[in-house]
Amino acid sequence: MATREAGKKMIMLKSPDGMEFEVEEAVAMESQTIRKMIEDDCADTAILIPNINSKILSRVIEYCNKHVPTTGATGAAASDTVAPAALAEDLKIWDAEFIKVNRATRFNLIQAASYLNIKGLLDLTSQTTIDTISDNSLEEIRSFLSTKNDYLPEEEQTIRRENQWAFQ
Amino acid sequence: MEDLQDCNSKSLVAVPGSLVLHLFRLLGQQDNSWQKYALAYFLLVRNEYFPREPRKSSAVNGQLVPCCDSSDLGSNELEVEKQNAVVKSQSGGDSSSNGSNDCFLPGLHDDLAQDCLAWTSRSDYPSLSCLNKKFNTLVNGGYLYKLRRKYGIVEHWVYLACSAMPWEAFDPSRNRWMRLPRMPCDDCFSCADKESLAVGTQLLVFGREYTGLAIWMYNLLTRHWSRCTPMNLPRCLFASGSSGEIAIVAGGCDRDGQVLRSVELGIL
Repeated sequence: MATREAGKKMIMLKSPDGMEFEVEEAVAMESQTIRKMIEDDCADTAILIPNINSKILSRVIEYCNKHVPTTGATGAAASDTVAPAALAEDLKIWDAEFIKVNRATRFNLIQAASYLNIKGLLDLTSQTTIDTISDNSLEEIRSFLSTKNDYLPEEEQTIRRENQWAFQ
Repeated sequence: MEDLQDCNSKSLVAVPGSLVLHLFRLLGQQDNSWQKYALAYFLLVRNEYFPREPRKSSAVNGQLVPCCDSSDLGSNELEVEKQNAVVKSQSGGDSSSNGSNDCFLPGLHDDLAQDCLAWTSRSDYPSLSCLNKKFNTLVNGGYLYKLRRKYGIVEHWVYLACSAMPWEAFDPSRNRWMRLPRMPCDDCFSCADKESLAVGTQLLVFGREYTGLAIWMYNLLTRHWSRCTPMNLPRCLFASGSSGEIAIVAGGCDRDGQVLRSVELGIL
C-alpha cells in the first residue's frame, strides 16, 4: 500500500450518528451500492449511509480497505510483490481474525454487507453464522441460534425419527 | 464449488465408457439422424458440455448416481418467488429475547436470516428441521433451495444402493453417509435390476414390480419416496440424462423385450 498516489479520488461516507469517514474511491466501490451511486454521479458530496452506525461502518471500511488490493482496480501494486496464493492465504487469516466479534456485531455486519452489497463480507459473516450449526448437537445449535424447541415431546420424537438417517 | 465438482467428476470416471457402449448397443447399426442427434446430446450432457447441468450416471447394478443438489438446476425458476407466506411474513426485527421463535435468528431480519441459512450444508438440514416448527417449515418448503440457486451454492452428493439395501446418500465434502428412508416398493422391485437418474430435486429409480415396470421417485425436499407416473412406453435398459428438471430417456426395451426407438421427456 506504499504506492498510494496523492491525486487519488477520495469519497466521504457519513454514518447516521454524524461521523465522517474519508476513504479512497476504490475502497468505497467495494460496495456495489456505493459504486452505483458514484457511477450515477450521485456522490459529489458526502454519502450518507443510513442505518449503519459509525462503529459498524468503520469495521466495514476496514474490511473493504483490506480487500481492495486483490479485487479492486488499484490492486496491481500489492499483487506485484506478493504471490496471489500467499495473498489469498493472508486474507483468509485476516478474515478469520476480523470476524471474531460477538453475535450482535456480526448480525450488524450482515445487515451492513447486505445493504451496501459487499459480497465477500456477506459471505464471510453468513458462513461464520451457519458454521455454528455444523457438527453440534441440537441443544447446542438451539443455544447458538437463540431459538427454542416448540415441539411437543411426541412431535419431536416423530420429527427426529423422520430425520434419523442424518445422525447415523 | 470447484472442489466439489472435481470430486463429483472423479466419481464419474468409471461410468462414461460403459454408458457410451450402452448407447451404441442401443442404437446399434441404426443410422437414423435423430439417433445420432440423441447420442451427441447425451455425450455432451455426459461431458458437462451444457452449463448448469445436473450430473448423473446409472451403473446398472451398482445404482451409482452422482447427483447435484439441484442448486444449480432449473435456471428458468431462479427467481425467488414470494412464496410461502408462513416463512416470509415474520420478521426478526429488533427482537433480542433469548429463545424466541418469532424469527429465525433473533436480532436479524428474516429475509437476511434466510439468506444466511441458505449457506447451510444440506447434510445439516435434518438438524435444522429438528430445531423447531418454523425451521422445519423453512426446510420442507424448498425456499432454501431457491435461495441456493440464486446464490449459486452447489453441493454434489452421491446416491447409491447396493442390491436390496436401502439407498444411501454420501456428502463428499463432509464425508458423511446418510441413509434414505426405505423405498416402499415390493420385494420384486427391491431385488430386480434398477436404473437411476437424478433430475432436479428428484432421484428417479426405474425397475420392475410384480405388476410390471415401475418408477419410484425420491424427493430431496420432502425426503419421501413416491410412485412416479409411468412412461408413455414403459421400458428398461434405456439411456438417460437430465437437463435441469427435465428427465430424458431414450431407447431401451419394452416389457416384451422389443427394442424401442423413441425418446421421452418428463418434467419433474
